[in-house]
Amino acid sequence: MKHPAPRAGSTSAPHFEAAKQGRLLLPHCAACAKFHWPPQAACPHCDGAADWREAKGTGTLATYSVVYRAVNPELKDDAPYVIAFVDLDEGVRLFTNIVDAKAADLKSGLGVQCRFEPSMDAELWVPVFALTAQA
Amino acid sequence: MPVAIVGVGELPQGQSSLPNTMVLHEQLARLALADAGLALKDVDALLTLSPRSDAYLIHATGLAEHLGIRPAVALTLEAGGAAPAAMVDTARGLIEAGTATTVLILAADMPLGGVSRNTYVSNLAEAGPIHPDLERPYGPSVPSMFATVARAHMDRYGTNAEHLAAIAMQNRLAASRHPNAHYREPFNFEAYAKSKLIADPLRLLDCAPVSDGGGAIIVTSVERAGESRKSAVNVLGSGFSMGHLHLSAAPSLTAFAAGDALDRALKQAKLQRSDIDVALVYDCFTIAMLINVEDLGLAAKGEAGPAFVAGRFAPSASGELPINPHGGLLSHGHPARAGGMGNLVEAVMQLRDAAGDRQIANPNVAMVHGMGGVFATHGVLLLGRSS
Ligand SMILES: [Zn+2]
Repeated sequence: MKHPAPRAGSTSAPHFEAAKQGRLLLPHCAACAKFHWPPQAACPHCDGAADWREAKGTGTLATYSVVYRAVNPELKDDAPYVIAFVDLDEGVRLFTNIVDAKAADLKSGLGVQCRFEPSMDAELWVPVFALTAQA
Repeated sequence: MPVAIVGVGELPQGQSSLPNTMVLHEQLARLALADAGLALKDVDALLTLSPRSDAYLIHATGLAEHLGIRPAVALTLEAGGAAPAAMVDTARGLIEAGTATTVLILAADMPLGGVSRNTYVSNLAEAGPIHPDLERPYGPSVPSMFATVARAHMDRYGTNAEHLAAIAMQNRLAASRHPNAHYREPFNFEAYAKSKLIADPLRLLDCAPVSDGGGAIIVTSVERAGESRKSAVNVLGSGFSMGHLHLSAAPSLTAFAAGDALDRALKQAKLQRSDIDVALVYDCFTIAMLINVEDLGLAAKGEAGPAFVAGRFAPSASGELPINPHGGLLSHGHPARAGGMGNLVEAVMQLRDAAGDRQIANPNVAMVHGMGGVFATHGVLLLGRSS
């Protein structure tokens, strides 16, 4: 599906720039060796300095919804599509789309695997997820 | 210096025939002032919200200009659906400090009349609770964000369509007794189950309507309230809380921060949950009502759905704790940025014994809860009948 572009130069830009290279980059704290999400001023676990580190891209479907009516005019033709939260093996929860899956096949707790799709800004791609069985 | 609400104003919610939001604000102001036996010239502080359908650099100052008054204070607050509570608390501070004596609080918006509905819905999703970088690229609508929470609650606690329908039907039945309510036709479970899926698992009848409307109240000191025309309603306590702005940053998808706001308000008022006689709970979606009731500690986690089905929160003689006797945002109406003002107005009407066909028997304490964003920020007021 199409993806409205995140803003270039935002705090999260490295995440979307890495996605273009096929890497799932998340904020990580060297002091306590934990990932966190979303990106924020400092590590929420220990207030340490955050850097970026690659995650494996595997996890489980936490919850989802099927959007029958897109509000973004550019996504009208993509509906219905699936928005979701996925719990990554690294212990963080990402908001995303589940792609290439029928609504009837979805169930919370199923395994998911990261993929990458371009946004409407060619420099910034977005991580999306597919069910593991189909990845 | 304790403060009291001495005037309220409300117009029918729904499609307004008024030309713009300034006229709507003016009419609401005049209703509340007449109710209090006051005049525009008595207002020395004006508190407003910025209507989504009609933005100004400083809305309150623009409104004062429109009304032809020059109050000492004109402030526009931003706290989403927690704003009505925030405006009352700000009024308390202004009055206690001696900065103002008579505070006019207005919350009104015209999403139907001010802009086209599609523009409104799209603005709400883009500039509303949706994160511009971390959520917008995935195309969520506001209902779909609430829907992810609904599914998470269903998975964890067994919440189901029957529970959500009970909330929708209870609100609609209540609204059938309110002359200003946007939707007043009761419906049954079949009609609920047949209503269109908007964002699975939420259906059209799980969502509050988009309404033109809002309300006005007048706050002054309890001392001065003694001279008011109608029985004053005392502000007993207030409390606020927040957990996140964007759902992506919420630590849990099934429990949020509303309870902290109520705890703080109860502590300030020196009251217990059991002292609450009528509760006004923010219900922009059925799942919002269900989870807020649990988070506020009015039902245990996972037990609000069955409690609504059993009628425990019905605003009738059989209800243990009546909730939303005006029909809530779900049926009384959701006037965009002014969502939740109806809860505050209804609490005042109930405590004055002026709610007509929907009057709860002898309420002494009302709780008014407001919520901004997707369970993001919460404001609670405890109001009491003046003795
Ligand atoms: Zn750390």
